[in-house]
Amino acid sequence: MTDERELKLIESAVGGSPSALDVLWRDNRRWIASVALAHKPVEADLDDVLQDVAASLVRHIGQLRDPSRFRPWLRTLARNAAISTGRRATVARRHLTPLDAHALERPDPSAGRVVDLVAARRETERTLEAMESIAPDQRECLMLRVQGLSQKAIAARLDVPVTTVESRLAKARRKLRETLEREGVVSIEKAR
Amino acid sequence: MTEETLFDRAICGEASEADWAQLNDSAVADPAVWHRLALGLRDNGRLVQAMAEVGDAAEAVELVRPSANRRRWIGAAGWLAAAALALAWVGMPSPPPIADAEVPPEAAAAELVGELPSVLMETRELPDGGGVEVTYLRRLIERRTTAAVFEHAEDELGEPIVVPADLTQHLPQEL
Repeated sequence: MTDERELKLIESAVGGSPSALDVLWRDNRRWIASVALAHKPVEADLDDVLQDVAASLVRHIGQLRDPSRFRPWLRTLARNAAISTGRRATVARRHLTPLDAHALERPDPSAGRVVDLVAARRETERTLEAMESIAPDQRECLMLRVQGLSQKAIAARLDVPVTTVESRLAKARRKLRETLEREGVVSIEKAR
Repeated sequence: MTEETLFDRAICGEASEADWAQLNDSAVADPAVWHRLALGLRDNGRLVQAMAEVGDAAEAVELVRPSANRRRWIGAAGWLAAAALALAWVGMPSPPPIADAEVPPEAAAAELVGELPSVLMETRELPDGGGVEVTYLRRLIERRTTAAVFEHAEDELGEPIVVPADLTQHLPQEL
């Protein structure tokens, strides 16, 4: 839902205010990253997609006709950028894990939990990989959900009914669990 | 309501008393419900961690605007297109409007305001000695009213496109 403050920012940005557009971008870029990640092919780099979304936003904000539809419009920009960037991508898949990569390369011996950290990291990566088995629209819902958005907020961004979001979330969670079980991610019993 | 929908609400802290009661009823018949909910909670925890990293990566991406130099080049490119069209009608009996592609059809006809000195491009003596052929660029200054102004830009694939011009970003000499 677009609040009064954001509406004013959007109107200013559409009218050509660079500072208003900067604020809008900073307010929305975290969930936009989820949309981009959900729709980009695995070989595309998320950083590249986000740069394309940012460039597209600067170029096209003047074309937004209805400020109240800014978020669905921005989500469409992100989805299109993810798909088009993916078409061009030839780079090898990279994981966006700078902090964990750092931990893996230079573990702190004093921490005493390196093995746990590495194991946890592997499980997280497997979970992310399992997400690739989920249809993009369902994956997008789940990624937005784990970022803390309510079903209603997701529905507003995707411009779909809440019941659709609920259905996609249910399918995504079921598919994720089935994939993890099939690919051998340890269950709770096995981990004990 | 499906089990996964109840799980989603429980995992995200949005389950109502009725939702918990339904889960509990299901678990009476199938105790593995709690086990599946635990797995869902663990999967969700891993996803939350992964998505936090994605969000942090997004925080590093700022908006980048075309530099003033690039805008000047875009402006110059617009004039080059106009000049090319102008060149095309040198020698034609009735010149078409300059840069048709950049002017909406509803625009009023242009008013001729003045003309800058022409630019000599080529001279060639005619083979029959009947004179000299001169090729030159006429630089007309026109004024017209229009609902919108467009400029040349590039799309995400680097392909040339025409987009509405941001007039607040243009210096007078660029137009």
